[in-house]
Amino acid sequence: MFTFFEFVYNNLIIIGIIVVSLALSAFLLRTFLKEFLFNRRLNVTQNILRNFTSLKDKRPSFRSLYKVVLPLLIPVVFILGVVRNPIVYDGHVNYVHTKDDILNIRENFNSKFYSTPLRTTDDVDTEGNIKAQLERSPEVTGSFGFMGTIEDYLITQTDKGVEVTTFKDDDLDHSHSLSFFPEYENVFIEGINTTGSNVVVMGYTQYDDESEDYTPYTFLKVYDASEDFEIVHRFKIHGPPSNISFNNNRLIVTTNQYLPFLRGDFELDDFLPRLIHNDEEHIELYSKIRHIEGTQPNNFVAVFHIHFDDFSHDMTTILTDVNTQSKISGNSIYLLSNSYEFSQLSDYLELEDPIENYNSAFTKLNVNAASSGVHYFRTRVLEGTPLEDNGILAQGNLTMAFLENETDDETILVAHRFSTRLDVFLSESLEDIDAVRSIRRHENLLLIKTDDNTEKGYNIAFPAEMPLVDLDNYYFPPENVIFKDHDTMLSMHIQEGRIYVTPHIKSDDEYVRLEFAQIHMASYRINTFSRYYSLNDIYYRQSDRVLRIPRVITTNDEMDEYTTEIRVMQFDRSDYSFNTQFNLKLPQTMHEIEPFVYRMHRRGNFTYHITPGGIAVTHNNEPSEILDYVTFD
Amino acid sequence: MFKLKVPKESRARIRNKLKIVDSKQYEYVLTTDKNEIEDDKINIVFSEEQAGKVNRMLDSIVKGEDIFITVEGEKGLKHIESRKIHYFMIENEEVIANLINHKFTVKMKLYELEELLQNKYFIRVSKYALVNINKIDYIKPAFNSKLLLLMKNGDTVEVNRRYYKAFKKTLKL
Repeated sequence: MFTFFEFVYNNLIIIGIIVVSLALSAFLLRTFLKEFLFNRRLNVTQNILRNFTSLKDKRPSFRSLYKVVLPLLIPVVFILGVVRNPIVYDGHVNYVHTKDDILNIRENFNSKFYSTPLRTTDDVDTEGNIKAQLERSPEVTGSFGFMGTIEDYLITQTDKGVEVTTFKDDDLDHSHSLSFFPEYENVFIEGINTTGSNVVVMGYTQYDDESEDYTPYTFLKVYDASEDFEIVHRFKIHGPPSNISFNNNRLIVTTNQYLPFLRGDFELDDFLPRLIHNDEEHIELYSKIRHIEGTQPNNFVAVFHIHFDDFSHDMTTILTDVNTQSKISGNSIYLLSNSYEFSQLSDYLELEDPIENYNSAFTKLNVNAASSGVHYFRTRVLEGTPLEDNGILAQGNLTMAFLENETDDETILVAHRFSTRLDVFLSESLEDIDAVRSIRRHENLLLIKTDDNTEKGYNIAFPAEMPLVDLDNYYFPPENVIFKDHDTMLSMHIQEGRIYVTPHIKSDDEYVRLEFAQIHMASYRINTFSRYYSLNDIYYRQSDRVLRIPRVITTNDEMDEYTTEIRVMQFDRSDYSFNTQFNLKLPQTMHEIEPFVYRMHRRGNFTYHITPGGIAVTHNNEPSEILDYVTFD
Repeated sequence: MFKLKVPKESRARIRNKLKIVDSKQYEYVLTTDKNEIEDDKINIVFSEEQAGKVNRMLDSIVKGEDIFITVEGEKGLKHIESRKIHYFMIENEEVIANLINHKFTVKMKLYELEELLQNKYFIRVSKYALVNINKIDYIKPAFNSKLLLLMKNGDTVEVNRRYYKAFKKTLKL
């Protein structure tokens, strides 16, 4: 019933024409019946009067009934006249079939959107949009990492490629160097993952401002350890990646492809999403593309799904606006776009302001866990515009969209929570929040930080409400030490020799609020570093509460000699501080990169220390003594 | 006007010979059985062999003696039978009698003609027109609750909204 009313509301003119044509038909039918009765009665009367000159029945021919049906053709003629290529409408999505459908959608949108003198197509910065899209780094989630193991092989990522080392107790041997895509320049290796006997290496081309021929690709190469690390599969995905997720042996990649309609040499076919598997190219079909109603049709958001069990793959494409935000969570992909609700009259008239409502379209797509299928699921249109950069929070069973509703004198941030079927079950206005810097979730706590660095917490444990939480009295679970705002906070406070940890740590018996834990780093020399630490540089193991920080220390006044070591620090729960246990000095030949990402791997009695320059092994009983090492040249 | 009361098996045949249409409101009972006569009606009892004569009698009952109207033509005054007149229409303050191919001026007022011809199945359809029902070829509904009468001479006469109900009543609609 709601859908019917929604349809009526959205199509007042068409409904109006149908009502008028039905009324006209009813009037003509009444006239026809009147004519029929009058003439039949005239005939009877004249016969009573014994006027037999007209013996034939005086009644309108039933053939004239066509006049009654004629008005019913008006809506059909109208729809055929206005919509040259009827596009199938389903919910908030238009299905397209051909390239012309896309061009018509664009023309139809632009004729309304740009009909206002406030906007002209000159405002569209084609090159700027392309550049912004290319410069954006993809958000990578899932189990792509710096290293992986297959039986006795330790596979590690370096800046140049991927190195394979055999490891057996304290014996290390460099085995293979896996070339990635030497034929392409500027390929950034995002990470590696091991699945069965396969090593999956993923990377993408980094934006090169100076290269005119720069084309964004996402690459995958699959090496088989059982076949001497031969390449068994190659994948190349066109378009700038916006989200990458590797989980459960499956890869999901979303790409954003701006469609520069205003560029002279633009050919839509060239911008269709495509995937090349080995040497076979798969180009998206126009018939599989859907347009989200009301969104500016200037961008292809493509979702690629690759299943590494059988290397099958699929893709689906959504036509929507260039500023669409996207998130991958588990087997679902969420898109949030600006959606404009135009006045019905704008179909026919040029209006000063044709936009009746500024909305947001929240779209969900699913990938099939058992196969490689990607399926569009549903779109919800909500009042308000997406919050910039932080519009979607999708994590586990939590799916939220953050929109700004503008009233006459203020802008209110509204948080919407969705069910798995994308039904809105909670819309909460979050007052006194403006200029949001970040939104994150910690268990049942939603934390929103504003530009002035104040943070507010909301309890999301309940489906029907989202109460504000006093963070002074809120305590994180005891064993969960998380580095807070790793990039900014660490870089700032490490200069003072301190690292912030989560603001609240629970002791065994009572809750204690802790601002930060001190890390004693008196010998640390800041000027040896060319960049700040990030979370990747610091390796914290929850199981033994040991923090391992890679360090590079100059050893002379000229600062041209230096040593590299791993500072191993134990978290002491009695005074909430990290205390140095020992420094593991790494061999000179592992010094090449500074600062560097450090990882460790434990097997049996041995610990393997992995840096981009090499791998060193120690015995657990003598953790500061290097027994063997390999380097990657 | 007439009610035919004859045995069922001969009813269609006799009705065809008499050329009559049964009316719910009737003044005459036509029967082949004297037991069927109705006291408050005019009863005509006949045998089927007499149907031809009864038919001619019915003609004279219905049509009666025709009324002659004096009209003025190019060749002077003449009398014409009212049944030949399709309709009278006031044009330029003169009453015109419209026949199949001719028009004549009538030196009578329209209301006088209406009164004179009221039993001759002329009906007033507007302030300006008096129409012979037998000369209507076709009735066409028009907008605004009006009717257009297409006459057998090809002319069109409008039934005014004011006379619409009376016209319907005459046709017993």
